[in-house]
Amino acid sequence: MASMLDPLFALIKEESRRIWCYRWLVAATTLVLWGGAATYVLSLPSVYDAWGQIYVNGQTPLAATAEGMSLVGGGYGSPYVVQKTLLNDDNLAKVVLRMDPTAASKGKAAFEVEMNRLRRKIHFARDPGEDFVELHVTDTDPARARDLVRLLLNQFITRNVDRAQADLGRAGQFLDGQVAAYDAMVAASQVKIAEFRRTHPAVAALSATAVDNGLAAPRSAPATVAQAAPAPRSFAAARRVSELESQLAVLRSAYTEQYPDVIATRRQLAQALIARDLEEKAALTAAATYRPPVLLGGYPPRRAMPAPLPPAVASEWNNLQRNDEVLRSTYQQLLGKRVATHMSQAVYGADGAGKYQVTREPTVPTVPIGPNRALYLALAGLLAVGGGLGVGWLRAATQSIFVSTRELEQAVQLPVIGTLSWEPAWNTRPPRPPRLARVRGRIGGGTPNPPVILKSYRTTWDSQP
Amino acid sequence: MPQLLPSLAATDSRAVTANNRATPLVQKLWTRAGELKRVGVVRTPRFDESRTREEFRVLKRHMMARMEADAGPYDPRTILITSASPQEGKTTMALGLALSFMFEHDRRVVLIDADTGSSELSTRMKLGDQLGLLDYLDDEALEVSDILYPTSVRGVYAVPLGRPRITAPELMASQRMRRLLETLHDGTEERIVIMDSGSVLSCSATVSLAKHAGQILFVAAMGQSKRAEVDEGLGILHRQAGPIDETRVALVFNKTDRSQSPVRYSRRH
Ligand SMILES: Nc1ncnc2c1ncn2[C@@H]1O[C@H](COP(=O)(O)OP(=O)(O)O)[C@@H](O)[C@H]1O
Ligand SMILES: [Mg+2]
Repeated sequence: MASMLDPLFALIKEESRRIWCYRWLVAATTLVLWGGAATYVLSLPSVYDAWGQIYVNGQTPLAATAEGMSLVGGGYGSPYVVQKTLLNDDNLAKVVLRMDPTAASKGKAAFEVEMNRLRRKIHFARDPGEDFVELHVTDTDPARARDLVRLLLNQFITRNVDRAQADLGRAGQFLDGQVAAYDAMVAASQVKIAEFRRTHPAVAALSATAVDNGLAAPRSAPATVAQAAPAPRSFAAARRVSELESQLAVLRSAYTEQYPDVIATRRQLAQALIARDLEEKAALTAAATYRPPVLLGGYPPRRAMPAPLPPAVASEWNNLQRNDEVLRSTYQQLLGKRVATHMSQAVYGADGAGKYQVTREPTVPTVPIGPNRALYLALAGLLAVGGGLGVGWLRAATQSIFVSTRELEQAVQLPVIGTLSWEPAWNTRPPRPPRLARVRGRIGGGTPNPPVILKSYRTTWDSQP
Repeated sequence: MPQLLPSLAATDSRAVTANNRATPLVQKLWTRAGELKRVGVVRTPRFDESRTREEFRVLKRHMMARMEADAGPYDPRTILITSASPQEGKTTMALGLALSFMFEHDRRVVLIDADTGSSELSTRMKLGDQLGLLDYLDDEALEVSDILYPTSVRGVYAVPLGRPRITAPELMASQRMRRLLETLHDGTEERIVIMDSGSVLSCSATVSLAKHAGQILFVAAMGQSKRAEVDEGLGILHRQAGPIDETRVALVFNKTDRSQSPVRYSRRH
């Protein structure tokens, strides 16, 4: 193992010796490189990080409404969407223009560059579980960084509110149309039922008995209006109740029981319920007193067992009733959604505060976050040392000096019979004595070191002058 | 003061006696100007270090082995120390080797400064202003003993460079130079001549000297000598100073770190 690595060690030793021979060059190069890099690093401007925080409430009236309604769509509450919408070209272009109104006149390419530069300055941070989104902008000018954050936040909020309003408006229109259509369909269904009753008196009697015996479902009770009762009026009361119920549901999803709107709506609902009950009673009375012409003379008016319906009539009657049921429940849902949409619109109409809340206003940062000069200087130092070593090695390689006996022998193909070590004492230029000693020597104090004379061998000529 | 030189042997060819009796190498103790000859200072700091001594000893052994095995046309006792470029440690090597050879019994060492580029060795030995090699080569009237100086180390003698001349390369290639070397090797005494020369690429005199040298020690310094220069220097020697092969040329790797030293002693050993 060791013997396998020996050549490698020898090589490393030789190369380091080679570089050592050019240590001054290495040192100078390193110093110059590092000096240059240091100048550059120190001249880098400080970078400041300004940031603002918004709270994107995922559970707002809008979100509640939007659930299940593809028209408005989800995603309003997702920070990811916030990030994406904030960084789209449209948004950034507006911000660029706000910061530098002349940017547009500089040409498309320059504008693109400007936009990309802005995009690179922006980054987001968020807590994974929360709906807080932090918007950071880094810039060399702290005030500009702050302004950028502010602009971006405003831009984002207005844009989203606009978009939400537009979406809600469209949804409202659609719902209005749907409500109108269903209104007509429900009315038509009622007319049909009344018609059926008139043509089949047995059905009317059956339903009246059912009402009297409390067999009919309470919800369907108001709908089994007799022909004599004015259907539209009765229907208007029921509609009012539905509307109020939906509104209350929506309000309850956002507010507490003590919220004034909730209390008011409850009161209205109570009144509407009373009104509806009254109307229902009126309708029932009308239906009970109503006698179809055929029966006026003969049948006893009360507790008469109704004759069983013929099967064909019964199934048609059932169909009619089921159809009516479905239409009305859909109609109720539509009404609820329309109310929610109107409310959301009202919320957004103010300032979008229900949806987006700036939880931290951006401020002018005072402490720069970068550049990390110490780190850069250290890295530059490492690189400079590397560069210096490289230059030294290259120089040694091009100069092809000898650093080992082996090399010399290989190069000249003649025997190298010995070596002589570097002996510092042999340098004929004596090293400068320390400064203090020099000064003392000048004023005549100290004695310089006597030269080392070979004393070990007594010579014949020692006594010679 | 002849009593100070009891063991020195004769050198000047004219002084060699018939029975080859050893006569002092440095016969003249007075210069031509009539002053007492200066003594060359030979010192290598920290030569006391066992590591340094061992490193030089390794070099010395190699060179002595060649001297014994020699059969070629060149006298292997004449050692030229050179390198491709300046400042690679030739002078240091020459001084160290001189001291190392001095340890050998019955061997004398003559250190010649032949570096026309910078007479560093002469200066270090404090013989920079004395009559020297170039004067001798230029002036027929001078004798070997005029330029041969004793040094502070017994058994080591010095020949300084002398006053510089523009004809130095030609002078060193001359027959008089060859005769000088022959003279220095004359006699019963075993003498080793170490020539400290300039670098091959900057001193043409070095190539002239290489023609006289039996051994060439080529210094390369770690992290300093460049491959291209070493190649070129050896190439010049090969082309202009006879075939360069491993019987004549050896390299020494200077300024290495201790891990490369064949001597594994610690400082405090
Ligand atoms: N082994 C060594 N250890 C330390 N310094 C050395 C060594 N060899 C040479 N030197 C120094 O290198 C420089 C050049 O050495 P020198 O011997 O004068 O080179 P040259 O003679 O080749 O020009 C001198 O300062 C010398 O002290
Ligand atoms: Mg020298």
